[in-house]
Amino acid sequence: MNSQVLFLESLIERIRSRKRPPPEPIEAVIARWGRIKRESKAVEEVLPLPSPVQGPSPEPSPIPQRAPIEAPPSSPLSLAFEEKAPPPALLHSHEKAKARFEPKWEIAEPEAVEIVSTERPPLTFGELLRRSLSLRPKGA
Amino acid sequence: MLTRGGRRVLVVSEESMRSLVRLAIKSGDLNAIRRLGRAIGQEVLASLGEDPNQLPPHALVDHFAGLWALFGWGLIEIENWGDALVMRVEGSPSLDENQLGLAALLGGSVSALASLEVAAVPVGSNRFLLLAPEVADTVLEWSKKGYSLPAILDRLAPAPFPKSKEDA
Repeated sequence: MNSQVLFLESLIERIRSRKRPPPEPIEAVIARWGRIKRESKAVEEVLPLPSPVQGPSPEPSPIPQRAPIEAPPSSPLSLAFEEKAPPPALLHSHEKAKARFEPKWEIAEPEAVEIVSTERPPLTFGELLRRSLSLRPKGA
Repeated sequence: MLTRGGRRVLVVSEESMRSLVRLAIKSGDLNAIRRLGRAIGQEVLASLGEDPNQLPPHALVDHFAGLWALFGWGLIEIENWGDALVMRVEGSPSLDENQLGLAALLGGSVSALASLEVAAVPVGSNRFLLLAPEVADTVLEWSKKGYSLPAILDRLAPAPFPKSKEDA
């Protein structure tokens, strides 16, 4: 029991005997906090935050908006920057869309074609006989 | 005996007919035999009832062969040798050695059928070449010399045929 008491007393004494850092003087503390306040003021000047007392305002965009890129009018790229949104009426009108994609040509009605056979019809007896009667001795 | 057209027909034996043909050949006039052939052709025309020149050759010859066989002259077939029209007669009575009697009979029949003057020239193997009368003698000479049908046809060539009265 006594040994335990002695151990605790010696431990307390060792803790007490440790060196502590000297307390910071109050002037130094005030000066440090003043510098922090000045730096925060400089940030407010770069990004002006809306004041809550000014009433409802549009949601602030976290990313600063850029001005739209514009090509010089003389540049051939100027066409690429033009807005080419189709007319809304055409987008939402089924009839107009149908008329847009339907072919302009029409399938003509098939015309009656007379099929003429190139095959020679068989000769009649009269034609065959005439050919035979036309035979003459060669050189005559 | 009468035909369907009312024409009288005599039945003559083969031997009697042979004597008549030989006599005609000896006298050099086969017109009587041709007239007999014309009579057969007219019988064919009367039973046909349409223009034989507009019929397919085999359709006409089938009809013609029926009457030809009925009168006892054998079986007729038609052959087409290039431009030449050839008739083959099988089973006919033997009238003369050169078959001139049968040729006159056949020529007369075809002439009546086609309304044209046609000469049938015997060219061997019971075949008769249908030709214009003006070339018949020349071709008959070739045939007597022993020329075959292809050899005879090789010596012939088509010439412009004069238009008939129907075409004019």
